[in-house]
Amino acid sequence: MDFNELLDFIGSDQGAVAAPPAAPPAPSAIIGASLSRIDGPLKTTGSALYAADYHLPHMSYAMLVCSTIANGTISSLDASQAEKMPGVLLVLHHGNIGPLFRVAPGSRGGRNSEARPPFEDEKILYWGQDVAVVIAETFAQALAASAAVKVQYNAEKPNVSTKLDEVIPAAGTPGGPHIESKRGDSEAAFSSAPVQLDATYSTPVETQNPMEMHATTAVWENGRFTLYESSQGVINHLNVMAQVLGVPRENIQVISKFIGSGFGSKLFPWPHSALAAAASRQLNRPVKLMVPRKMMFSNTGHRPRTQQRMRLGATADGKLVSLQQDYRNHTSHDDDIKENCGEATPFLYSVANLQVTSALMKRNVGTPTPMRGPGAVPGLFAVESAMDELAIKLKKDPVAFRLAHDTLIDEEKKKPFSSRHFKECLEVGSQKFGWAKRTPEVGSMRKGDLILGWGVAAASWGAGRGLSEAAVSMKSDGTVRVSSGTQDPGTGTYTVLAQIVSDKTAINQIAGAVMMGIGMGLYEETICDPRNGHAINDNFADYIVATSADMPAIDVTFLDIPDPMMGEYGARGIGEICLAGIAPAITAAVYHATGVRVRELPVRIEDLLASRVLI
Amino acid sequence: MKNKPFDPDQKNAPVAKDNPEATETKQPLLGRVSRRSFLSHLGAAGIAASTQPLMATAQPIAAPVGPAAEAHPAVAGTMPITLKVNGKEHHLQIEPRVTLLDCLREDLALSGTKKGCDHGQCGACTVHVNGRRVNSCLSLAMMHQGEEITTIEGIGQPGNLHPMQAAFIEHDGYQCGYCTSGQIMSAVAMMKENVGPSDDDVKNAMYGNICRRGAYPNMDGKQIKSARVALGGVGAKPWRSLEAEKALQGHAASATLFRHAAEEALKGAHPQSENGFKVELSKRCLVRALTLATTSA
Repeated sequence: MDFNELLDFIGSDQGAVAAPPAAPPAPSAIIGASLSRIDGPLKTTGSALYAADYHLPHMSYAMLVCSTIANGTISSLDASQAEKMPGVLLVLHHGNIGPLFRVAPGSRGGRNSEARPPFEDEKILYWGQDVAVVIAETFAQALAASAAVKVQYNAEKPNVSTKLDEVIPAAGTPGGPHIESKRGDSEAAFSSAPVQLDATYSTPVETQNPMEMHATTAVWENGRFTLYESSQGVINHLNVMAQVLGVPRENIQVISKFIGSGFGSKLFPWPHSALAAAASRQLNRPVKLMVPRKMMFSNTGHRPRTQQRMRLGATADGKLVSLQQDYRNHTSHDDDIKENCGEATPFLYSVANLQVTSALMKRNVGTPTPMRGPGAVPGLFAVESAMDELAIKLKKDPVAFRLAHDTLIDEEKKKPFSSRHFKECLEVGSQKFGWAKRTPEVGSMRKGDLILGWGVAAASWGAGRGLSEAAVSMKSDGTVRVSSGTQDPGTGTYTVLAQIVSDKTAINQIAGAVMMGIGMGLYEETICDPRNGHAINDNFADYIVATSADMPAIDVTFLDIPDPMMGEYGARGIGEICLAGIAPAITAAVYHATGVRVRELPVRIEDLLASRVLI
Repeated sequence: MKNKPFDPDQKNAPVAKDNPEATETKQPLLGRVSRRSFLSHLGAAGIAASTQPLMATAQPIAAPVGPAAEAHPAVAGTMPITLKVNGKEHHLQIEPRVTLLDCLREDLALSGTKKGCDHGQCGACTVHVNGRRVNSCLSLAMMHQGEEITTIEGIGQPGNLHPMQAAFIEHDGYQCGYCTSGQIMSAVAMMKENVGPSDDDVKNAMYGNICRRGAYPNMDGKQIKSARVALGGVGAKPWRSLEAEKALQGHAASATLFRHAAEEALKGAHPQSENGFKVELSKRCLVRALTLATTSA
């Protein structure tokens, strides 16, 4: 999702146009105060209700049956044995699901994750695709019966290659890369530059893996659906489900009181939601469906693999004259999802000649979806790694090299920023870190028997505003009720509605994102078996995420400069940007310590065996 | 304190009487069967032999098992069990294959205990059994008759918070809240374990509870320290891996021990073990070790 799509999404999600406030509100003692979040007593006592926490009379339980090939067709599906098992109420598949509809293309009526509704045909396009769903009286019965559904396939060879090297026509011609940004003549400036860097960087498939598994509790009652969802976009969810299920919007209510994070994977509905709803309509009973953790590595989205060729040209005295980023990302067969790697590239540095191009490579994988800091996070890994490499080639300090290319206008749009404090960030950061004590030679810094590496990276992030609507009413008991069609993915929405978010919550957010950045730099990668497309490390033992024992000292400093152009309070969004820059800072530090430049994430121990630094 | 204190001598802990193979080792690790000791002592053939008869006894059941099951008479395929949860006895009819986690969430409507992976890898389902922390998804409900089970609902409630819950709120030690029940259950149990006094000790002892939002900085050191003060200060002995083996259970213990094993192995086997790669190397070895442990299951 690129930035404009995000704004559209925010706009559509709020549903209605709100009038601007008549007058700026008076200063408040509450705004920015370091209050504890108001949802604490619910979340720390297990009283906060998530999508699968509801208990309803006559509840039934659903379990998905998923494909074990990544490419081909279903030749036969035999549910007869499963249907006879204890407690089984229904087995739904292509043959009996009934009509589920596609979302009207191009409409503002909502965005679905996969264009194709579940069970629409018998084509298999990725490992883990839903092929049937079993509903039973208990979870254990549904789980057991799901294993008894016999599915046979005509399997074809899948393509899950991580090399995104297909030969395609030239940029700007039909079938060739799409030109995302362009100024000057980057090609000519690069060829004539005395100092050149030409390197390709790759980021792997990452799986969002929110701690709460995707879940839907669907209730069909008197012609109306109530869907208890784990959704980051409740209004979008409603708009999509109305179309997929073929019922008027007013006959669906989506409830998402608390969600156990989403990191993007819960922005748009996944097929299981429609399946739970369809099953509850057929059975006339509530249906609870949780997507198992294993399946969340295939059929609830991921950050797609990217491959980015960076070409940077500079003068001998260190002036950047050309910057080219040609990126590709993989996508699924039915859905073209671009990972917008060039989002921050045009406005991060001052450079006269610049070009960014994009291209999609089809693979037998589930549909990618935005993951925290979509586009710019993998994009900045390439841009910032290349800047670091070029600085070293020029024998320039990486911080000074960046500062020398600061800009106060977006040179692409030729407009000033609402707020840009790149210089202050790098200066304050260097000072707090003690950067002046860094010696640039590889392996030159030691602490006891450790070799130290210090690395730096920068990030920039667009700030957007969407139309939104909230209702505030004062009740007769003196309390105030604030209501809005949104959700709290863990960022403190309930508290934000009561005040503008405090430093305490903001530091918590940033430190958490640093932990995720450590995961991106050192641990996280979803690996597909080339034979059948199965994500072989589909669990928390094999897909490593950072845990408490991986936690370094983290010092978060805010400049504390409001951005008055963005709104009356000058508040900023921080949830996405804080992940950007962590991974390239880590790889820069790894280079500084070992002399090994890792251009494909995550950093592996094998990569470092090439180090020639003497112990 | 609401729970029995941790008993290092295991005088009060029940030996795994339903598992004769395990008692033959004469080393009742933790006083009962953990996943790791079970696998290492039995081996794969033993597992196949001991689980087959259990599976064969599963019969079709005729009535739904749900929150109303307490009122139902016995039905085929289910067993009558009595679970003592948060001090209250519940008489249930459940299938033997139902995990403690599903039983708590679906049969007893105690949904404060969360399902994050169903594989004992994330810690979201942590509850206390006889005062010790266990992953309830790795445990069958029927194994816990007569034991003291405590869930997050039994630790404290809004308006009547346990000091650990209050500390999590005060230090913003949570974000989305989904892993929080498990984090708090682990932290409360850890107070009675000999994990050691430093922040690093706490980090290691909390290793098995994953927070994908990375709220660890506010969850581990100062926060739990403040709860320790509130609780009178416990767990002050220096931390050693053997102590940890006794004190920890499940994934947390496995992870810690594998990491130490990996480090030790590296010292002998890898010439670079003493340099700056050590931590990273051991992390990778831990991954391999855990992968082996998981796949061999």
